[in-house]
Amino acid sequence: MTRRGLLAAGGLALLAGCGKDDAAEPLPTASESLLLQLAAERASAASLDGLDARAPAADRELVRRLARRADDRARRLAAAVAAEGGRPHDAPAPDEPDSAVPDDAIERSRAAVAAHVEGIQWLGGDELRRLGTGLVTESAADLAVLGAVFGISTAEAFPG
Amino acid sequence: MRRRELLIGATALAVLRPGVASAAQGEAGILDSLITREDAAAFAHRTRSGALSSRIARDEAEHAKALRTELAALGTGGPDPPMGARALDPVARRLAEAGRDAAPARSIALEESLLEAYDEALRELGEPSILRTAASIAASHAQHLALLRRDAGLDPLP
Repeated sequence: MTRRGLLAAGGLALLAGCGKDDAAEPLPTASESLLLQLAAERASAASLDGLDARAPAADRELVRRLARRADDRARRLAAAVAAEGGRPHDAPAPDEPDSAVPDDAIERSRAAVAAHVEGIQWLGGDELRRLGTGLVTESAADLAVLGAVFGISTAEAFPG
Repeated sequence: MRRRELLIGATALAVLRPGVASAAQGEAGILDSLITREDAAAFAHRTRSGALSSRIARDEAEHAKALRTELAALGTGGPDPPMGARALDPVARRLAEAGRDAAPARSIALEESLLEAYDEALRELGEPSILRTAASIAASHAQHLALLRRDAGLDPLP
């Protein structure tokens, strides 16, 4: 797992109270999990901005689509946070991405997939579970395509 | 054999904790079904040539192994792996029996079908560890599908 993946998983573990003795520690709410997923997705989207210029000419529009899809996932997450009574702007702001560097974008995209895989356990009910499943599969597919564009293997048996 | 194991495991749980037993029986049935699909997919992809097919076949075998671990934690064994193409589900069998020209489309159809199976399973599953494993495997199938489509000259993200 990458450093960012560990951070995402660690954030949820902290929310879950893992490693603490207090058995009464509350589990994270859907809203809290969604906030971490939102932060990871915003970080991924920021790193995809302008990355098309680094892609082979035939794949530039595809990379622009990947950026739009990450933005769209962030929008859906923000709406879900608000619907759960949370405040989307409470999601930590992403670090400034290295300017249009494929490795950085891939690392952040991996972290987003990890956040969605980890978060699904806190998303109960039909609507939230459907959202969570969509975020997992879409972000993973996008990561695979991003890797393929830049010749970096990103497909795994167990993404996230 | 495997139905008997499922029944024995569920019966033991039913005696100890009836509510938990019902949920576990449901999760065990879902896992059993997903393992069968993964075994069949691994078998079918192994019949194809090419680095991507080999990679996918290995991934599917890893998925089945991880799901068997989850099923074992519920106290039941998993299904036996298929011994031949005739034992596969229809979608996997169509790939295993495809000619060279039809193979890419049938590989794509198989991964689409697996994604649908996980989409349905993720609506039903509740145990956190099983949920995370299933979600991660769904992510892997989404990656396979995107790469197969790109490899076939199709839009990878329809």
